[in-house]
Amino acid sequence: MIRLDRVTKEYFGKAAVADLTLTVAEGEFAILIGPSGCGKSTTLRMINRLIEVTRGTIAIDGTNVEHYRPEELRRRIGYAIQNVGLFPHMTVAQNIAVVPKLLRWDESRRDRRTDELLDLFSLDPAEYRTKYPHQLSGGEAQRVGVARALAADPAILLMDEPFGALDPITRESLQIEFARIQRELKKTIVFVTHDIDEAIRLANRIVILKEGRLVQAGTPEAILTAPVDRFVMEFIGTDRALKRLSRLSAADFMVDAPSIGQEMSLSEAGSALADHRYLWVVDGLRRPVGWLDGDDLGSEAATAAEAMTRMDYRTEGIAADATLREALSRMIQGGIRGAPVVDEGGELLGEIRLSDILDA
Amino acid sequence: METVKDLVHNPRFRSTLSWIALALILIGLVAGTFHTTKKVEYIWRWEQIPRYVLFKDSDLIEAQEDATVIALDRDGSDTVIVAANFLDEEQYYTVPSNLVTVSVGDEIRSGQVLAQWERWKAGLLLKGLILTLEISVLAIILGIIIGLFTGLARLSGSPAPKWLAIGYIELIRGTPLLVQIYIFYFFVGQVFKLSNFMAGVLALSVFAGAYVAEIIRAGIQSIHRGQSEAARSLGMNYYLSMRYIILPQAFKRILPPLAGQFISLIKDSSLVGVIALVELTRAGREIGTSTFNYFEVFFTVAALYLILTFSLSMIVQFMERRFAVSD
Ligand SMILES: Nc1ncnc2c1ncn2[C@@H]1O[C@H](COP(=O)(O)OP(=O)(O)O)[C@@H](O)[C@H]1O
Ligand SMILES: [Mg+2]
Repeated sequence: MIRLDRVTKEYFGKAAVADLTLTVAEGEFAILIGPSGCGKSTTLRMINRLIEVTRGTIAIDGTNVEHYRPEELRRRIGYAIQNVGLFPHMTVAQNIAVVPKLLRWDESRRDRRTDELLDLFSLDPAEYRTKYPHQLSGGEAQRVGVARALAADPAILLMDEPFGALDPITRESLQIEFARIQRELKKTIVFVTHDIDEAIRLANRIVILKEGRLVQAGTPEAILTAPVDRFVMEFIGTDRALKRLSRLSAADFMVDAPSIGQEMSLSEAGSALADHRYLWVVDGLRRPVGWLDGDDLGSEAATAAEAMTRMDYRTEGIAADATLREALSRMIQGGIRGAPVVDEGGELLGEIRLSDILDA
Repeated sequence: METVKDLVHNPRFRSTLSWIALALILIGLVAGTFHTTKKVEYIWRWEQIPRYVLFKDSDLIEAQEDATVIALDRDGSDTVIVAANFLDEEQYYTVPSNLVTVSVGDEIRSGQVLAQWERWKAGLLLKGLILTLEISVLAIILGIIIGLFTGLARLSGSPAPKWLAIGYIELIRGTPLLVQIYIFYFFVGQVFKLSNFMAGVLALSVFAGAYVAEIIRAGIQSIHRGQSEAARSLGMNYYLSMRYIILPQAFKRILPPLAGQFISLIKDSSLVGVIALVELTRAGREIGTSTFNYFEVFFTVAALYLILTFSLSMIVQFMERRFAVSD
């Protein structure tokens, strides 16, 4: 648990952070957000004492951070930043093992931990261990940066716009990946961003700052439904309803999907269709390859596979961990009322319907 | 017409032309030098030079009186022949052990050759070269140490080390090296009872240190601020972050200007000749004054300096390649 009590930081008499009181509970994913220069980074850096407070106290699990030596404190708190700050003269493995080495873990334990983290971030250890940072893509470098922050398994993780420098596609996939990792690890996270979509997607709690002061703090839902003032309202934008959809995942709204095998004869398919408006046609591995509705029954074809409207599950299927917002946008783009939800292998898990989303 | 135009624009033809031009210029230079030396009516005696590098020293030990050998005492690689004359007065002759030809009880007569040998000895130029090398290597090592600490002090946030470093650097860079050498010899040397050699080495180290400090400062400042911040945020203190993060990265950028500085240092070491250290240049001057072979001597001196500086360049290039792995 991190507690900031009436924390103020002044530069040349001007407050960068003013009278900030804030508690981040164990296992909570708190996101500090606000316009550039509002004091987000300053707040974060006071927690691990990269900056000292001017007034007020910061306590971790009830102990004032000033009771620790700064180096010791920082070895117990993970810290990841936007431009990664990987050390270019060290390999990926050496970069990740920096804190374990400072903590004098023996070599085999360090190696085990490095591989474990690379695995966690879907980087093949055999391939990536010995690479140098300049051989990594932006997304890979950022993964290694976060892995390094997690190396000594700190209970607290501070992140300053860690995905800020990435292109939108990479950023989104990393957000999804990181959300998965956090569900597993349950760290106490303080995360800084200026991207409200990122905040809504990831946070348990959003803290909105303006000119160093706290404006509103609460769950993403609470902030989206009840912004306290015009500033917050403008900040979260006019598409609040849409934003809420990005908090929900397709898996949560998926319903059972009626399906038939592609080898089924058309007459059998016809009777199966009696109870449904349409059916998904799946291949031997239960991957949707098309759909069949009343219009298709009139054809001369012998099997469902020949009569159906073809589709490609790789491009038209919706991943189970996609957000409702994505699902909606895909359906509107394709002009369809329902879409199959598939797992990583393409297997049909269920379907998602436009009408259900609109009710959400 | 077309073919001429094509030829002129052909890159391979142009490159060949350029090589030919280079060869012509070099031939011209050699011919010019040769011609000028003809004009000054100088008698070249290159054959005089090798013995100032290495020479064969022959030596001969003769008995002074008739006597009887009474003992052979080994003293390191030499043996002392002890002989007694008819008055029982002892005489001592030191000869290399492997050349002893007499044994105890032998009679020796006055003028008898007890041992005769020849061996290679370093001439004045080689001795000078070795002294130059010794002075330079020591000054480089001390210069790096002084420069590293001064460079770090120069970047320090607290005023005392910072301003002391600035003062030292400005003082050294603002005065001639020759004057500094005199000060080290006459003043510092007197106060601390330094030998000529120590005074010379210290003067050069302190001089190089100031320049090395500036090179190291620039190298450290060229490393992105994010690196020291990342190091700090992971729980490294100042020492660890310098030792493992900043300096290893700065090293690659520091190496080329540092090499230039040390090549200058080797050449500047010629100035310590003024405090009676017979290093390479001074050795050349001394041979010149006694033989008047100035031309050959100083050409040779120049070539010997070139061997030192060129070797240093090669070592640095090798190191640069070794450290380029992570780029
Ligand atoms: N070292 C510093 N010296 C003076 N002013 C600073 C310093 N660091 C930050 N500030 C000021 O404090 C305010 C908050 O900065 P910061 O926390 O970096 O904002 P952001 O929310 O964009 O991360 C800004 O107005 C900035 O100019
Ligand atoms: Mg910031």
